[in-house]
Amino acid sequence: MALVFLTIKNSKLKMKKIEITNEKLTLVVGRFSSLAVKSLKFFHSSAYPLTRLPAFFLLTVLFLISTSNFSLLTAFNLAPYYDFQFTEGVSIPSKGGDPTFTINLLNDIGLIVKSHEKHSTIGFFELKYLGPGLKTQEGERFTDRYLDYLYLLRHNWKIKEKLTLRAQFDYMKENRRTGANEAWGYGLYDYNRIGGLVGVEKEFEKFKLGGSIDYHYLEFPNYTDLLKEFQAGTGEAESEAGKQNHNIIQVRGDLVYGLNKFNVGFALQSYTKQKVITDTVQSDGSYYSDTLQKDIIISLTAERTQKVSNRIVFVPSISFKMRDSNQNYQHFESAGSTSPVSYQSNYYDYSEVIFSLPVNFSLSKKWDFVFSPEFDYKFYSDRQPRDASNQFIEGEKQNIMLTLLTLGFTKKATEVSSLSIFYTYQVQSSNMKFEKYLPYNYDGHFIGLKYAITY
Amino acid sequence: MKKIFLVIASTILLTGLLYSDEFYNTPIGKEIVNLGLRFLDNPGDFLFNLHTDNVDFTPVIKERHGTIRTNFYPTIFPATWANINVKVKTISDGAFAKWVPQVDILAQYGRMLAVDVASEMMSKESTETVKPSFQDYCIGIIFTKSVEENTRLYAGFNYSNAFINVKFEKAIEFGAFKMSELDIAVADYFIVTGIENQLRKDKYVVAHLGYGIKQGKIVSRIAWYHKHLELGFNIYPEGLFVVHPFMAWHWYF
Repeated sequence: MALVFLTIKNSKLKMKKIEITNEKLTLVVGRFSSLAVKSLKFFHSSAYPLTRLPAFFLLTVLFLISTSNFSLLTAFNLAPYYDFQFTEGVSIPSKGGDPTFTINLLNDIGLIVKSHEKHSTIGFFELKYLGPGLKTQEGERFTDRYLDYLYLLRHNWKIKEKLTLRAQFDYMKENRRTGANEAWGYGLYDYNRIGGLVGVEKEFEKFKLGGSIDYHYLEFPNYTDLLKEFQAGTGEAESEAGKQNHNIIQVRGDLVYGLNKFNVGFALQSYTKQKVITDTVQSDGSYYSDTLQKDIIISLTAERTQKVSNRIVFVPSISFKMRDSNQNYQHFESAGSTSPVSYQSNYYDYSEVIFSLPVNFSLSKKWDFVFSPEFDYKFYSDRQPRDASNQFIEGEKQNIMLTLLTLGFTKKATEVSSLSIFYTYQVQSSNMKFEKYLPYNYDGHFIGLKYAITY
Repeated sequence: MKKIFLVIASTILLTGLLYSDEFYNTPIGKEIVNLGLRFLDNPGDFLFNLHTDNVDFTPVIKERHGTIRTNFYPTIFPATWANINVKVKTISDGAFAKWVPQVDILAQYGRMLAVDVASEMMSKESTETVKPSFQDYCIGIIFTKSVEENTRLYAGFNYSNAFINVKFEKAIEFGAFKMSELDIAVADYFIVTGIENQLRKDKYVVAHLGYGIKQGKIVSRIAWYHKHLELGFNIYPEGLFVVHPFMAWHWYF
């Protein structure tokens, strides 16, 4: 771990050393990766199927609660945590799907244990369902629905009065499907994620500084692409199975200064099997080189919470994200074609700027009005957009502009529950005109109700 | 036997009165045909959702010993699905020691009267040895702990089972589908976690979410419980009808 900290520190100081640093990081990631794979195999083993995990977790929580006054646990301070959120609405997109009812459900249950004045632990289980409806991420279809299971255990250790160390272990499973007639657990992009983080937080007189490093391994057990295998090589076809599996190692720094928050992040995403595509046929008959795919993601965020008056709070924020990948792209004109017609280098490199300006008006003790505009501009550094007939447009770079305008009223129904009614107008425009599979130029409306009950 | 299916289909899907071709070409008619096809695609799921409407997986209120409850809508009416749900408090919150949670035992049973009546009508002339039946039951245990004066958290397990066995003399045709038999048994083990908040005397709001271990099925409820009346919504994110408004009646003892 010391090596990781040291190399990251060096990479920040000397940009020329980034290449070496990545290799070192990959070595470290590789060691973690084998551990992570073993852990995932344990969770998947027939003796311990994943479907039993919720029961196991709940039993553990119940056990802790019910034995809280026994033996060593007698001195513990326990506090349960529960969060239930239900959103129902109607999504009306102009393109990419029919109007549909949208349901989102979130259920968190957990326990906070303070075993010592310097030690506290939180463990929780989250079950989340996201139904079909308008989506904001490129590549997501409006008919997609997600089912997430998250298990998290975090320990905080207050080493000194103003110095806290935290460590976290988490496991997440995401199932995805495009229609209600498909079975859960067979989605191409289903994944299991396992990992954790260590972080430190230090309070100074006028500001608070924090840093963390986290590692996660993502496994896509169902991923394959027979069409890609067919297109990739006429000789020995390259198997696509397991090509989405990757490691992520991320370093973050946080600064809180008065009403302002700043965050900087550096992430290395290294694929375990996905090789880099080249523009020439290799000796095995495919277009894959021997180099594995690696992506670097740098992110910066700044936010300010500004109280304009007793009734108005303004929270402007701006974030910038840059992705640099060594992966390229070979374009095939049709599904049956085996000869690429165009080679695009740096196809996945992009920058993204998100600017949001939410403002909250307190109308009375129970009622709030929220207006939240958000602007998301994504531009690719090398990728050319395509016209309606799937041909690349020379001399242009692909860009996407997404605008979200949300307004809503929230009523604090009781001390633990609230009800909101809201409306979102979503509009996206892009110079990408090939929209056979995914919409790029559309607008949509989402009107709905949200009920939340939290303790 | 076809009559039995028609009774079920017409009462559950409310399509029994709408038979003209012109109607099926209207947007509402097309939607009803679509719903009918989706029902035939997975009838067990919809019937199981109705069974879940019958189950009251909420704790017995603090001051009482038990609850008897029957779900009126959408099961007794319009589906003629008679049901009873009994909960008994076996251990009170903090009974022997501060840490002891309230423990309730739950049992539910129901059967569809339309199927029973049709079964009686055809039993003399039929050569079938197995009588048509439509029943459901659930057993469970609920642990509840007060976390504040008006707020309690609860969690527990239940086993739910709904089964129907109906054989048709002549196959039912609905579009491209043909059905000669309805033999469904859907069962699952659910883990449920929830919250109860007392708004005032005899008025509570409850919300919970259940996860079916075998099928990965999610069921959820938001409801307002009065002295006798219960009103609320059951939510089945991937169901034929995503939201089931429900109405039930209960007696505390």
